[in-house]
Amino acid sequence: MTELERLQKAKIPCPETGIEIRHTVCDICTPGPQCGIDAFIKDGKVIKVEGTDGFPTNDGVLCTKGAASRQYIYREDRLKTPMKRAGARGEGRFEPISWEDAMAVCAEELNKVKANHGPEAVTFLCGYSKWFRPWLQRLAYSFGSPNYITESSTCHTAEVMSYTSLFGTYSMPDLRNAKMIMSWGSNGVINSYPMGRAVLAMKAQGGKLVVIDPRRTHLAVKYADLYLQPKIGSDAAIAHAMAKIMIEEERYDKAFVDKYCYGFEKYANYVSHFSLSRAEEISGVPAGDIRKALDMFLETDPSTVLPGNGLTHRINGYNIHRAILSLMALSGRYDRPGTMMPARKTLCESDAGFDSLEHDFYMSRWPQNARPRVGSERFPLWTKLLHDRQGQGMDLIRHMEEGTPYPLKAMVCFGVNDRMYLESPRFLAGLDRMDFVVATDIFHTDVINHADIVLPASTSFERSEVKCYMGQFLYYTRPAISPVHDNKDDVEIITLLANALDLDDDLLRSGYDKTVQHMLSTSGIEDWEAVKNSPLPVRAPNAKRYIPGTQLREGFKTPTGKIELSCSVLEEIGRPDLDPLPIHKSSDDDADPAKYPFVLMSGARIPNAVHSRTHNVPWLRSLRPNPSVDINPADAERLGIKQGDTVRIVSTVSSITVKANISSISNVGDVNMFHGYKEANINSIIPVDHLDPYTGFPGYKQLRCRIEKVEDRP
Amino acid sequence: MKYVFVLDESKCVACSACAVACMDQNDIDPLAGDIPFRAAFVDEQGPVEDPKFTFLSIACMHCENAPCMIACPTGCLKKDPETGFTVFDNTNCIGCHSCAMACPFAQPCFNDNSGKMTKCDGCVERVKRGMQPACVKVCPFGALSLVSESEYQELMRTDARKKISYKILD
Amino acid sequence: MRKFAIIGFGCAGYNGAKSLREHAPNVVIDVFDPSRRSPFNPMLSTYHAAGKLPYDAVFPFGSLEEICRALDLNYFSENVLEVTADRTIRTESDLYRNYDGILLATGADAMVPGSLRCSGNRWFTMRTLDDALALRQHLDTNQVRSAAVVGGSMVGIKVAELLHSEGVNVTIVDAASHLFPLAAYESTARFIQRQLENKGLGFRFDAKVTAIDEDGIAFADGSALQADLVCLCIGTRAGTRSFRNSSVQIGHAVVVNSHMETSVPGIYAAGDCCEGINLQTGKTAVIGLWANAAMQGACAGANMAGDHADCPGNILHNITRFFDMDFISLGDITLPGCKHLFDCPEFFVSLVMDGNTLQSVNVVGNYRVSGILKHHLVKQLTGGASTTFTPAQRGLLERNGLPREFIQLIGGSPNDRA
Ligand SMILES: Cc1cc2nc3c(=O)[nH]c(=O)nc-3n(C[C@H](O)[C@H](O)[C@H](O)COP(=O)(O)OP(=O)(O)OC[C@H]3O[C@@H](n4cnc5c(N)ncnc54)[C@H](O)[C@@H]3O)c2cc1C
Ligand code: SF4
Ligand code: SF4
Ligand code: SF4
Ligand code: SF4
Repeated sequence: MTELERLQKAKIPCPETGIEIRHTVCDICTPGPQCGIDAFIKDGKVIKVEGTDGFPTNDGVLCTKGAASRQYIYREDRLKTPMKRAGARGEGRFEPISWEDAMAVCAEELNKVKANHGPEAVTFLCGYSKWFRPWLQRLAYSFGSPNYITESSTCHTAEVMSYTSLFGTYSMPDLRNAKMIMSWGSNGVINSYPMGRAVLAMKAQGGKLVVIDPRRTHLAVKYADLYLQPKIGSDAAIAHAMAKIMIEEERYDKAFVDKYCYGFEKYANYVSHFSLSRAEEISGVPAGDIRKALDMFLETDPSTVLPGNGLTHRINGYNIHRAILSLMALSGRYDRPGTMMPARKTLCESDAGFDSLEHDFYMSRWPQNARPRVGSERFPLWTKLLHDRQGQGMDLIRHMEEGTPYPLKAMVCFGVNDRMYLESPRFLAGLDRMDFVVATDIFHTDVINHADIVLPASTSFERSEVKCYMGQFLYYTRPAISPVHDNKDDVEIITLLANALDLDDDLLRSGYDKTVQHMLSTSGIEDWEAVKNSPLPVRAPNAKRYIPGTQLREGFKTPTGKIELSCSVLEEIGRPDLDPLPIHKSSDDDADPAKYPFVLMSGARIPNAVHSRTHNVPWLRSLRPNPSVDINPADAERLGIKQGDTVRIVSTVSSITVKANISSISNVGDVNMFHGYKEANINSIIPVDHLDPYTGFPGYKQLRCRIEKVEDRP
Repeated sequence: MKYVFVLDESKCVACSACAVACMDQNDIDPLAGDIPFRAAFVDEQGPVEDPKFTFLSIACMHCENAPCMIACPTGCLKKDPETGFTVFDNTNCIGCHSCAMACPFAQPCFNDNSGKMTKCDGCVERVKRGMQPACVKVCPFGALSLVSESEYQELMRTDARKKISYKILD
Repeated sequence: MRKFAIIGFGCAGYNGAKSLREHAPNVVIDVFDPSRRSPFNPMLSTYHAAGKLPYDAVFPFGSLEEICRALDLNYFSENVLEVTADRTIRTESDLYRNYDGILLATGADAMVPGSLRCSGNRWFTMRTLDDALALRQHLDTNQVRSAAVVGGSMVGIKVAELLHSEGVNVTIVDAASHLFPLAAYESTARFIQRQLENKGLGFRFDAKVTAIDEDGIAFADGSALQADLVCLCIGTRAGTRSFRNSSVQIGHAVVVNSHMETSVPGIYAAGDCCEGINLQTGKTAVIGLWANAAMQGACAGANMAGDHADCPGNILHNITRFFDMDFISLGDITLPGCKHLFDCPEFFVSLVMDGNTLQSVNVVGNYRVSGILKHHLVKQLTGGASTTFTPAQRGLLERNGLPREFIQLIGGSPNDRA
């Protein structure tokens, strides 16, 4: 090999090889980290990626998924051109059409539905992606429909509801300053490594870590000073037992509670029924360990819980999450460095140190007299508590099937994944009943096959976007490559739609650059070109570090102005099945335990996947090629199941067939399965009404099931 | 300067980011049955009530008296004098797999259809230009590092934590 | 200045000279080999004859001039005819020289029993480069339709593969009852035989060859096999003829200890001409392998220079690739124990365990597990039978297709679980 060949093979960026580095961000595990990427470009193509040194979230490193960015953006199944349906719905036959024609069809069909059935009959549905959400929400509202629904109906909003009902605002544990962390149902090292790194940094500085998790996670086995392995769904009982001790032994922060908390008496009375022995009986965790965990939590200050998102994926999940947060209030650990801190969102769920006009951007177009949005009557707490007025998508299947309180006739889908929905085939059947479906996506998904018009979207590498980062950073990317196919970015598509629909909304019709600068006009940034030219994130002039204690001083944005240990909104709603207190209750479905002896937990992250979006990335798929269920070795032995055997997971509604992965990551009696696989979609076996009545969230992480060994035919 | 790859077992979570970075760096195509030159995995042992987990990332150890090099009948494998990495030129490789049987770590691969040996070359060209190996650079937990031989000796002396280098079998 | 002689310049001789030079920069090193070629790898003979490797590539250490220059060697292209106990040698040209140390590295010759020697030009052996060139030339200039390969050994199979790829109808003949009698369990051998039969190869076992003639071969039972070409691959004979008067102890080959020293002080031996320690039996035996020759040569060279290097011994092991199939054999297959098998569509591993001790292994179709298994076997012999796999080894074995239970069986500790 010549020297040049060696350089080329090693992909060394230099004038000789013609390989240059351009900066962009990874949008695979959106929206949290969105790590900085150095894209190695040769002849207009990405030939390799690396993390950007000095970037606020990742400083040069990447996670498993981000490292596979190249294959993600060049996935074989990317949509390549706008298409219109040529065969029957679901058949997957399409013909290419031009962007102009596609827009004309969309405008005509959507306006037709609006004219015949009202604007509410059109639902604007968004999948996992976050970066274009304010635009899509404004599109829906300007169109006149209140039905803007996102994947957050199953992901993050329940947490927001829990935080909001207690503290009046979304909050986050301040991991950087904590000296002790009680990680509760969170495996930070895998699900979001910057968070994991913060936990490990705390440990490295001599801090203590308690892990409470039904799964024996990486964090539990490697880093925990104390590990509690509760039965799935028993967490509230543990939290209550801790609260009881704190109150009875007068170890809670009485001054704080007196001054800032509402509903203490009721709450104290309720938790007084949770003795350590009762908690042990419910959770299977030795009483001594519960006390030890509490001691560690109280004896270190500042300390914080780190509640995992998955806690809310049980049908009593909202209460479980609140029960855990209550410990923060009780111990006076709120709005101080190293405890739970109020969080701000500047743009698309992330914070750049200043308040933007994002909320106003879409809420100013809220259709005042529209009929109620999807899910709003079924889930009154959702409707009353949330400021941003999304619909609760978990009521969508029912709404589509029953057509009440009014029929839904058209869907505008952006990155929608049917496998997010319980009994997912019913979602696709619902789509097929629509008069018109337009679907935008990066990839040719199953939902695409059910659309009338298909619009190809871009990845973060091909677009320009603003992203905010903790630490008051703001980043305006430039495209690292031109579109791989005849695709456009989502906001461009929204802008085209707004224009085609001839909406009375000049701002939205003006495109990304103008609208984002409008939303961020509070930043103090004058020269946006300079921001765009910066290779690394910048600080906006108006960005300010939050001063701890501000919230305590200014009062909480709850109806009572206090931290609500009993939720006043629920008191007002007054429905008997919705308790204002964070009660403990089983999150099981009512399947017969004799027939369905296992408890299924689904959706906990594996390193090589986020939902379904990386299952078709060969590098990532090769790391764990088969959909597989984690079964405890003791259970496996009892059932005669060996590593790699084929097994069936059976629920009351359906079953899927997967491989067995024998591992004590699963507790005895529990099984654990990752989601989003086309050939083994775990959500297809969860009953459609297995929902938390408070939040509408699906019980992804607790369902009775049975494991059957399938004899492989030779 | 001679280098040693070191894995700090206490930091590795077997996330395989390193394996993916290796695939990106070396254009590995799993659809063609190819595998990366680095692999991460979890090993679980001991009683069910109190299992012991080990998290590992393994690639070529660039052994000192590289058994693969000694075994190769055609002299494909060599020690790079500058870095000490076990590098290769597979022009004359006959695909006999002798190197594979000699290697204690199952490292030599026969990735493409040519039947010729490939393996981790320590990202030698990057290292020679002051860059880190792709797998080391990506690791989100700083578990993997490339250290000079003297730093390595120092590390072994001062740091009692379990580290893996080519002495892994001992 | 001290003077040393290396007799035979193959793999062992080369590595001996290299190591000696590294350890003793200032000594005189005389190398004797009649070939006038740089060290050749006999294993490449069939590849070269098959046209798969160019001429230059069969010399893995480079050209003779370069080597002699780099290592500062005096090369004598002649046979050494005699070595005596006082470390004096005599060469073909009647050169007599006395040395401070001598390395015997004469390798081995293809074995040809006198009774099978025949005049014609249609029979071959396969060891040297000249053997390869002769066979190639014959194939290029003659119509060869059928061939008999005598000896179902590793060399035999490679020759059969080469001939088969040239469109020749090949029959493998062996006095033993199955292929690879020294390396394969009968079940493994039968499996491989079936695969090869499917490709069109013929076999005749339990067949004692009594004569080779112009028509082919004749068997002891009176039958005959017509063949246009015969290749004898029935093993090798260590090249020890010249050392008979040296009073070094000779069994099947020159006997050495773990320092590669013969029974005569100052005379060392390495490679196929010697028998080192077989770790499994504790006795000395020829383990005629390229890597073994390299390590023995390096060890001998270091010790000749006055260092204290050790070659603790080796196990029988072999990996042979033919017809896109890998056959790996580890350890002495005659050792007793309980047989275990893991079989899947892609490969199988069959092995013998005596209690917790791994005795021998046959693998077909999975080269990736072979290195770990080999090192396990060696480590068990040097470090004790209770040796267990490390987490890395377990992970790599599982990743390469072995089931946990099987891994556990071979190298699990009593406390471990699958
Ligand atoms: C077809 C074939 C396939 C093989 N396959 C494998 C395999 O897959 N794996 C493996 O590990 N091994 C294999 N081997 C064996 C391996 O090639 C030998 O073990 C190795 O080459 C031995 O090296 P050596 O230096 O001891 O002997 P040699 O390579 O035989 O070298 C001996 C040298 O000594 C010279 N010499 C001999 N007598 C004298 C004398 N009296 N005076 C001076 N010089 C003399 C000879 O000319 C020769 O150059 C194979 C061998 C063959 C023939
Ligand atoms: S990237 Fe780092 S933590 Fe992840 S498997 Fe590799 S070495 Fe371990
Ligand atoms: S390939 Fe194997 S034997 Fe060769 S240097 Fe790497 S680890 Fe060592
Ligand atoms: S497979 Fe290739 S590199 Fe490996 S030992 Fe054989 S010839 Fe050498
Ligand atoms: S050093 Fe380079 S080639 Fe080797 S494992 Fe790491 S990335 Fe792969």
